[in-house]
Amino acid sequence: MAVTPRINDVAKQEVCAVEERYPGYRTALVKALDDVVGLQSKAHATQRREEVTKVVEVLGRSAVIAKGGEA
Amino acid sequence: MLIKSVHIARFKLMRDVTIHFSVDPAKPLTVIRGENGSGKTTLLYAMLWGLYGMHGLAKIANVDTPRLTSTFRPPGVPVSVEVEIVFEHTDDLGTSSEYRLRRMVLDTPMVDALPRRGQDQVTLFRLTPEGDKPVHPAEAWIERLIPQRLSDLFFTNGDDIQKFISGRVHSHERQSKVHQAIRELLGIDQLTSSVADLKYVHGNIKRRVSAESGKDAEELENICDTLRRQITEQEEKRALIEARQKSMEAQQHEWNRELNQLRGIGDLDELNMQIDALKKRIEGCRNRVQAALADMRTAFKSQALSLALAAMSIDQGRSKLEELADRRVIPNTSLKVLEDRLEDGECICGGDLRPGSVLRDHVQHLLDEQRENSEMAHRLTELRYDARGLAVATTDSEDFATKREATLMAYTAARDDLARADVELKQAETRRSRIDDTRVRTLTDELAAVGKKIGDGVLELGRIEERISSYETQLGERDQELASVTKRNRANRDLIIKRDVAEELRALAERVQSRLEGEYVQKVSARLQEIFLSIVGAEPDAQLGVFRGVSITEKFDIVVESQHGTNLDTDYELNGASQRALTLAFIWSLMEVAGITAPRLIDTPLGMVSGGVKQRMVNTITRPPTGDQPPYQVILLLTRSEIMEVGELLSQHAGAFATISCSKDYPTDLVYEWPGEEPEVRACSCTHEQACRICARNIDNAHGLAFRDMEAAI
Repeated sequence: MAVTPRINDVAKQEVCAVEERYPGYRTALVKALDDVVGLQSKAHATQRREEVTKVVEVLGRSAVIAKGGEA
Repeated sequence: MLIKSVHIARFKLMRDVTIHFSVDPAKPLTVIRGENGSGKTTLLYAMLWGLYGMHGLAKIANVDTPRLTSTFRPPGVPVSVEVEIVFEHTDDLGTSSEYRLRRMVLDTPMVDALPRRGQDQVTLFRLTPEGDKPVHPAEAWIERLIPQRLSDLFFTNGDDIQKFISGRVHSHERQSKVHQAIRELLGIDQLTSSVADLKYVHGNIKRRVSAESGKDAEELENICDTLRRQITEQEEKRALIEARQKSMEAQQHEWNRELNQLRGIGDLDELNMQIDALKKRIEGCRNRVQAALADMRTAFKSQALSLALAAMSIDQGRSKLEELADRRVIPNTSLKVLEDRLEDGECICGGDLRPGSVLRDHVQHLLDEQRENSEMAHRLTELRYDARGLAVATTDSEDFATKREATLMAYTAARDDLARADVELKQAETRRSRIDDTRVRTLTDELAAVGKKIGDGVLELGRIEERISSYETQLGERDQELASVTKRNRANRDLIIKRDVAEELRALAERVQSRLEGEYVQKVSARLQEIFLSIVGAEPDAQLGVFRGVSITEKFDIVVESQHGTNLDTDYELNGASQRALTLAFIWSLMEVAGITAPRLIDTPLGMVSGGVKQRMVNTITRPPTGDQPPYQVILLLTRSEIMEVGELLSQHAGAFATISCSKDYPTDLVYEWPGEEPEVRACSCTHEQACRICARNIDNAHGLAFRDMEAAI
């Protein structure tokens, strides 16, 4: 985000505590958080939550696929 | 975002003005010089309109459709008002791009009515070597890059700078602007809202997992849902009470301040006691004066006073008498001798004094003369003896003088005491007359009532905390049960992964939020103190300093601490320069810690600042960033008098200069007349050390400005 660069900075530091489910998962998590934060400019809560759900679904799917790959 | 230039066409008196700003990180300052009425504020408004349209002017103008054109424009004739802003922006990957934002509107001035206005035409282009590429939607982009809700931080004027943290509004309202700035710039608000959304999404996925895991899991999920709802309800209730508490505390603070001011004049009961005591003292003084006067009257009636007054003459007379006695003129003893000789008939010399002798006739003659003088001598002799008595009496006159001195001193002391007591009484009565007794009683009652309410609120908050804690414990237990049931019942594996991912994302957002609210706000606080103290020239350890420090509390309130450790009232106990220093220090520290690259334009920031504070303030807010500080841009709109004392610093730190002038100032202030029939604002590239045919003013000779030959510019 242009106005709040510190969110990204801190997210990059904090994500180290998260288990790397698959290579690039932490980076994807930071990107997903950035997307969710970016959606907050949308005033309509229902529409915004639908978009947030999609962000989580995309992240989840990539994790699922990565896990599937491992298996 | 850093602004490179602005072109303004037909906005108020700016018919065709272009100004270039410094984007050089090593020289972040742009100095725009302009006297009162030269167009500085118009420039600020034009930029706000250019970026945000009428929303940008909404907080300033008193009407919904403020005039954008010059008042000299004829009614009914449409005017195309235009502002073009060129800026550069560096994205998260560190790529810099240049953009051109153009806002245009047709504004038709009307007679006795608001202007008629068309729809704003807004375009935004990214300028690339391959050509200009449109960016859509333009306003959303601008809002993302430089949000209008934060425009107070980016574009402001000296008065607002002073009122940002202090000023005649409720302290909690002012602090709410501070809270908002912290939350917005550090991204805390966005994270709070993101966390809420992620909780919602996570909850939904969890419910789906539970639904797939069987009835037990579903029931547990419902219990968890209810507990979460109860927690949310309690949290909302807590937030409401906290807000109410804060408002009451602010009110309590205001009332306390008012009461303290009244008590500063004097406590009413204490004053009444003081007045009674003074009246008694005055009565005593009057009695002492009367007694001293009585003593004086007695003294004036006494013989001692007469003797004291005649002492010198008596001394002189007595000396004369003693002299006569020494010469044996008195007492007269020759009379008796002469009578004896005549009776014996023989003189002491042996001569014949018998009747008929010549010598007897002579002695008889002497005797007659002596008898004549004897009356006088007798009186003088008596007077001499009497004067001896007076000599004893005159020694009493010294006692009289001592007594007189003592009486006079007693009188003077009593009269002086009386005069002092009279003055003190008048002062006390004046103070008492200024105390609004009813207001004091009302305030005391109100304070007692609000104090009780605040106390009740604290108890209620304690109860809510207990409930939240209890619900959270129950929720933790149920969540664990749910996890084991879900595991046992083997729900959809993909859905479980999604649930876990959602949970991780939510937890990450919460951790980031927590760090920003704690660690990063404290970084702002530390930097705020550093900048503020350096501007006001205070040392935290100095014995005679006024400020020990300034900090941001856990609730995001700014607190200024005195050397004695008490919190200072920013309205009452900070002077204008310190109030400005505090706001500037806050904006600078916050934007620095937040890593925001944005312009900081301030109209007349140095109005109430002078001397060392002015030097340090300009130096602090214009020096290039160091280390990992983000680049920034500061644009100062300054009058000539503001520039005085800091000209050299401005020259050192500025990478761009401009001077704006208005033709209406000829011939009173401007030296040269410009062609044209309407008043107009023009910009020239003169620095604060130069003058030209556009900007030269009559006072400039006194400033020793270098004259530039700008003949062609007219």
